[in-house]
Amino acid sequence: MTDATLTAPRPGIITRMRLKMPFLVVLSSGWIIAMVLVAIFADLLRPYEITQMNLSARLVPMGTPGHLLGTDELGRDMLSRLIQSIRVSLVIAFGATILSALFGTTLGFLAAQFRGWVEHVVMALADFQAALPFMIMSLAVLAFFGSSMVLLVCLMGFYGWERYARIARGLAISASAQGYAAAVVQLGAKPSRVYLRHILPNVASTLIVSMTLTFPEIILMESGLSFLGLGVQPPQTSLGNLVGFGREYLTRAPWIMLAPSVVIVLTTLSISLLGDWLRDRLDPTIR
Amino acid sequence: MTAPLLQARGLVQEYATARSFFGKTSTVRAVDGIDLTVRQGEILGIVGESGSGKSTLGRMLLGLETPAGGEVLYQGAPMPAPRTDAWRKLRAQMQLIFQDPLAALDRRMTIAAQIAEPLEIHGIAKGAEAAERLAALMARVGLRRDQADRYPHELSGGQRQRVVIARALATNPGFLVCDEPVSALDVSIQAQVVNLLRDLQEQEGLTMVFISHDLKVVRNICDRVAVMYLGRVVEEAPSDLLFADPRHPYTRALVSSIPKPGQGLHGRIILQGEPPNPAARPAGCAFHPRCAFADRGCAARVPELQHDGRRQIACLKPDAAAATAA
Repeated sequence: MTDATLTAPRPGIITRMRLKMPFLVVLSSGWIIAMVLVAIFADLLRPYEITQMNLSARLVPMGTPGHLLGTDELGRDMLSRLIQSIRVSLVIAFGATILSALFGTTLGFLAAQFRGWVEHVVMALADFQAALPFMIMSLAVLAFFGSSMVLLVCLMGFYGWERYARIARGLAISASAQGYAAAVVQLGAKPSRVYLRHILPNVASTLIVSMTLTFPEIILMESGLSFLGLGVQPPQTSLGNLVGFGREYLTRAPWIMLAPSVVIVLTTLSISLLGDWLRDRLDPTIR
Repeated sequence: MTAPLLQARGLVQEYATARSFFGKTSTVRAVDGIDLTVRQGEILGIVGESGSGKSTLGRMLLGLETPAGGEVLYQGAPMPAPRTDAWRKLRAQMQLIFQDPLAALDRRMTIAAQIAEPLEIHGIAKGAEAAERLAALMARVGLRRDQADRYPHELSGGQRQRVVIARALATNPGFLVCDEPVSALDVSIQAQVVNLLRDLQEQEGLTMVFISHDLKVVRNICDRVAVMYLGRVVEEAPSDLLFADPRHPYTRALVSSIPKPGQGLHGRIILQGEPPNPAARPAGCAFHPRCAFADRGCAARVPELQHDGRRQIACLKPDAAAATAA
């Protein structure tokens, strides 16, 4: 910065971000970016293969040279397994959250637009989904079709769609009755414009909050399924998987469970904080 | 006499009311057989109590609702069904101005984007041309240039209504329906908006239907006035004639209700009985339970709208009413 003395330097992007975002939001977005980077570069970051065993170093505690987060009962490096788990869990959680938001919102908007029998069918499906324990449905599907990553993401994508459908339908109907959507229809706009340009931005804040609620639930749901042996299959691993299997060694080797639990808590917390902040930012009326 | 821009013939609109648990649905006739002609370049006022079907009539004239009976002709052609392509295209020629401007505007769009939206929807102007038209529109309704990037909640009620008016004028429509455009505004702002509408009408030769329950505003702005009672037009006349010499007993009560300074309640006709309920329409003349001149005949026969000089009136005993007025 040699010319700093001549002209007032334009503050760097970091400074500008810091001024606009609260400290916690900076932390949480930093954490999420770190997690995403870890997921993308998992292959490069991993010190060992996730299946590589070292029977002479079983259940070594955290901080052991060479095994920063310790090892499990087969002497597999926990850091490598954690990195791989983050990749798998993030793919499932992000993929499924986005899928269920898209699916639910689309159905909700369709119900609001066409009313009549379309609405009845969508709402009946939503009630059906809400009444059926999701775990049982997933167990049935996975038991029949076998577990694969694609199937798992698609299946999880059905988790919570009924919430988005109800929210989207209710908000879209009230928008049409309230005026602004009716006013745009009255201007001659096609339904696609009314829904994408007007109703969606107006209901996005509610949907984003709903997404931040679904995200941790999907991570937990996936852990539950993995724990039952129908989710991610060993030797592949996910955060829920690690916690599930670490349970057996809770008293003798708590570090197996500790690291993935901390990652789950921090990631879901960051998503919630970020979602909350994003909702406020997206609403011009409370800026 | 100028050519009719819009004609309504025998318009009827019915709504199903919420049914009780075991009961059957009952239908409410919000509009019950209305014939109306709107001539090119005039402002037609529609007045009546709430529940008299004014707004429903306005929405049907615009083709926003399909009438249960009768038809609307715009420039001689029947109104296309709502939400079809032909209907969407016709929106560029006819626009609605809403009662509550805050509800009619999208909270998340700047007013510039909203005013320019009709241009975009109908593919009228793009880029620099659209920006130019936007600036012209804003100037026409009296919005400052620096307000373009504001959001609706940052404006005052009068400014919001100007935004709604600017948006309605964006496509240069020939026909405007103003549905109680000033009743949500302060009295001081009302005058500004009414003057704005009148100026626009004079400059552009706009044709307007002005729906209101505020007789002062209607007298101020309208060329011709139709008075509605329970879904029917009871009297229609040029504005000056109607306010100077109302004939129908209901119109007379309405006109006498306009406050005059220093007169108190003297000379007012206070209507007795229940306010109108479209779900329980009285037999015969709908107004007869509240009418001072009604007799048994009024309860039996429905009066038709009949020409009487420059006015039309639907009353079985207009002479009795006129006699006491004199």
